[in-house]
Amino acid sequence: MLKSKVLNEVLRQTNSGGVKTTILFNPDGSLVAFAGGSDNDARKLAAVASNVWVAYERHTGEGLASRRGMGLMQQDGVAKPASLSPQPLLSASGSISPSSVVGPTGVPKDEEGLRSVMILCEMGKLSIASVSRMLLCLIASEEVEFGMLKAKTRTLKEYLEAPLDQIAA
Amino acid sequence: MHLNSHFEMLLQSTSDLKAILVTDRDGVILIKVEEPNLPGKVTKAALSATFSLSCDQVGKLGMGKALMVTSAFDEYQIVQFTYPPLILSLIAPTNANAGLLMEIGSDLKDEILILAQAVAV
Repeated sequence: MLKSKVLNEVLRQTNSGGVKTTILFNPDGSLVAFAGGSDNDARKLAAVASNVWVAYERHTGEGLASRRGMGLMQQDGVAKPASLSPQPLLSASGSISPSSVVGPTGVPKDEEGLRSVMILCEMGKLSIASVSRMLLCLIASEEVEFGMLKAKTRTLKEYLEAPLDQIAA
Repeated sequence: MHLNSHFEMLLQSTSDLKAILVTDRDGVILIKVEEPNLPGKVTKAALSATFSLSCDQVGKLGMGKALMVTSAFDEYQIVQFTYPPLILSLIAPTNANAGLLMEIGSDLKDEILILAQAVAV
């Protein structure tokens, strides 16, 4: 069972230093959890971000690389934060299921090569990444540097990946 | 032709840069400069119809127009800039310096806008 309060709290911890909103949503655009802003805004963001992600993923559906299974984190060698959240995300601990063979939008993982999408707008920045079978989107003001936004997205993705894998299984 | 050779020089002088594409918003290629062994599917991924679609979508968020999109894949990253009515795409390995690519894309703005004026007539 997913603890929604804890999930919101984890997302909220990202909202600092210019990051205004963090949302977790399904590839079909339905909102799972969000922190920052109104729920109307979050729903709108989820719909648009999922459209963008799916467009890029479908367009490159045949994959840019044959290898897969190496997440965004592993290659970059970022240490997993031990104290990001005060509580476990799941109420019951279970064994981590084997990673699914299908990516967030139904594209087989062996063929799906999209890791992240970052967008610079006139009045802000967006960072989108897949987490388990869901998508994560951070919205920041234009002052936030891309490196910091990327690092926050990567850290949150790494933290959420294992618990959400259990939900998706 | 001068722009083409300028892009080729840029490609040779920047070790991580694998390809430079200038397309219209429908993905029709105006200029394409790439390294010889680059897989075709990579440049296909940079075709700009998806980018245009994404920019249109993001424009609805109330954050202004989308100016640049960086998409990272397993092996390559694509940095795309919108210089209406044209789109500039830079392709490099995933581990390449993304900041450098963004800077190159910004530096090429004037050249692309000159081309855009010629195309718009």
